[in-house]
Amino acid sequence: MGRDLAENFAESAQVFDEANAALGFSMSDMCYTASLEELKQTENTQPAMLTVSLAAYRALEKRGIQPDFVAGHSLGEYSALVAAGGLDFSSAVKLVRARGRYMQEAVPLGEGAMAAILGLAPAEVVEICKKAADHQVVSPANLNSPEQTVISGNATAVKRAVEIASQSGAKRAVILPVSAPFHCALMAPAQKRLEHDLRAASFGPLKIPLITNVDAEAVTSGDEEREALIRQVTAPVRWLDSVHEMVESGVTIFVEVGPGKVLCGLLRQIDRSVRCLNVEDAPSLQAAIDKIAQLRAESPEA
Amino acid sequence: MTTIAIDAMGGDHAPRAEVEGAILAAREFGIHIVLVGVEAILKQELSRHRARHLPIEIVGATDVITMSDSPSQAFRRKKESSMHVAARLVRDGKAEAMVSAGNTGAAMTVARFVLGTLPSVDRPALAAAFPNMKDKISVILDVGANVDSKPEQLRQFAVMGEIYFRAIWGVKRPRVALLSIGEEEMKGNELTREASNLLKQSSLNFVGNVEGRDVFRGNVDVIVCDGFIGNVALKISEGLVEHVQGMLKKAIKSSLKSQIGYALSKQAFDDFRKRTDSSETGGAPLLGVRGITIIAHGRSNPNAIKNAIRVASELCRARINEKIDQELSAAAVAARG
Repeated sequence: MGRDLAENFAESAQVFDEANAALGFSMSDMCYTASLEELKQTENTQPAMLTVSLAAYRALEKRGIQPDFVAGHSLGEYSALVAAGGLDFSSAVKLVRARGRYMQEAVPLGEGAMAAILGLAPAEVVEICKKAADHQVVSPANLNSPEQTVISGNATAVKRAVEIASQSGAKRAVILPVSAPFHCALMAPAQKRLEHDLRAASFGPLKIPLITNVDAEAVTSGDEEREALIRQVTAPVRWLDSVHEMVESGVTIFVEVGPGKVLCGLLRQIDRSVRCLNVEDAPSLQAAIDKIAQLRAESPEA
Repeated sequence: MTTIAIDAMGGDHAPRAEVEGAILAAREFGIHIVLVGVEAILKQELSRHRARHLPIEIVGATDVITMSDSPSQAFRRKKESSMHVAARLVRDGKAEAMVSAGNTGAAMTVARFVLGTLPSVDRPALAAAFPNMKDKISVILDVGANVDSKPEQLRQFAVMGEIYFRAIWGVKRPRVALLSIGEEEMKGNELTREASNLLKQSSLNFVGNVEGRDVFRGNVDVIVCDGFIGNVALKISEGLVEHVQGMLKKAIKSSLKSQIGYALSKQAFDDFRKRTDSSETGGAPLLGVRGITIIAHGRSNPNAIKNAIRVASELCRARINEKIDQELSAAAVAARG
């Protein structure tokens, strides 16, 4: 993934060069030969994802596409932050590699789990987690769409929540194949280590308002965003609210940068009145640029 | 009412089988059908039946993709073919599903690129349903939408196949297996070893690896393999059925005694023919594309077309694509941490 961008656009190739230099190994080799799903270890997934997302973003930016807001799902918030000019890419790619490692090391393998609860409202899932906790940790980790909430916590508590959800009318409740329980209280050790790194990094003002995962509200100050990223490690990603916030602020076109189009899929579940385009290679970049031009011609305020 | 677009020019017996199958389906299931193809030909074919009161309409398409066209060329050059027009009806929301008995490779290419894949799906997979020895149905996928697949793609095939199985046959926890050359995990190639690992970690009811001879035994519901293996397995099975039928015919004719024996056990032979008749299962869904797509056998008779339309409407009613996307997208975003 990302190879097509690097081969076609100098500004994308430069992102890969910066990643290689910052990390001290070839991120290009890793990305070019593997898909996101194949990079199983989260300390590889995270910098790879950030690199390809920024490679796509820089190409888009170069062609005159300027966002009015930026946001990113979990790790994606770092891409949003770099795009907004609040943190330099080299620092960000090192931070997320550490973030991936800290998160993986926070909980011994097998002790934590995540599960998708489909077809229940987020508020119902919150209640189910409370019932299932029984002095353990289980809480919403990704509030993705009106019908999709991912929960996270101790494996046994997550299992109990899955059972309760199935009995409470969830269309489906399934344990997900992830390596650690992200975005819950069990991530506290990772949060502590990452906080240290984040405080050492130099954050500047954001040129584009960023909608944070933790509050689903816009921030423009580097210090505020740093706090949001620290809290994010143990707090749920409020993606549904974040999208609503942007739509209410007048956003009608969303562009998903980086590998895949999963966020476009979520967006369709949240609000069918807005458009989502994805950019992951040269053809999808051109298609997105053409589509944006067409949509703007049809409706000037878009 | 569900609307289903039929590529009426594609199959070996087109448009007669397509038109008759459409009439049967409209009559039996009350489904709104759009027959896509050369207007004059379809009008004439339709006029041979008493179909005026049925919810069937015709949408014109000037070109036809033939069985000998190369899929990629047909996709690029025959944009006005019945296959393209049918796919565009689905893309534009004018129909919920399309059925084609035409050139399989072309139908898969057209569906994949006109409709696009679901946001969280890497590659679509062709799923074939067949009766097993326990008089139940098993599903095998991929049977030819891809030549090479990666372990993660096989995991997605398993999720899609499981959702399809639950949607159509109502089994709560379908048993999912991986096709390999032995039950032991260490047997197989790199792909099956890695895929087996991923499937074990998943929440699917993964019962392990099975061998080719287990495919028809009915001990598993969903069998996952890469498209190359799946296609070879499917074609060998079809060929074997033909071969056995041929041998039986020859043996029966060989003497008076066997002809009398045949007359006495005709019922059993008829049952056998029905059981091995692929027109009963009704086409293979191409899972993972946006919009339901059913690929029917080129040899489809009206009954096969009717059943393909039935499967298409059942998949629409089950909202299978929403289910696939929900499940795969939750896993994809959560894994990013």
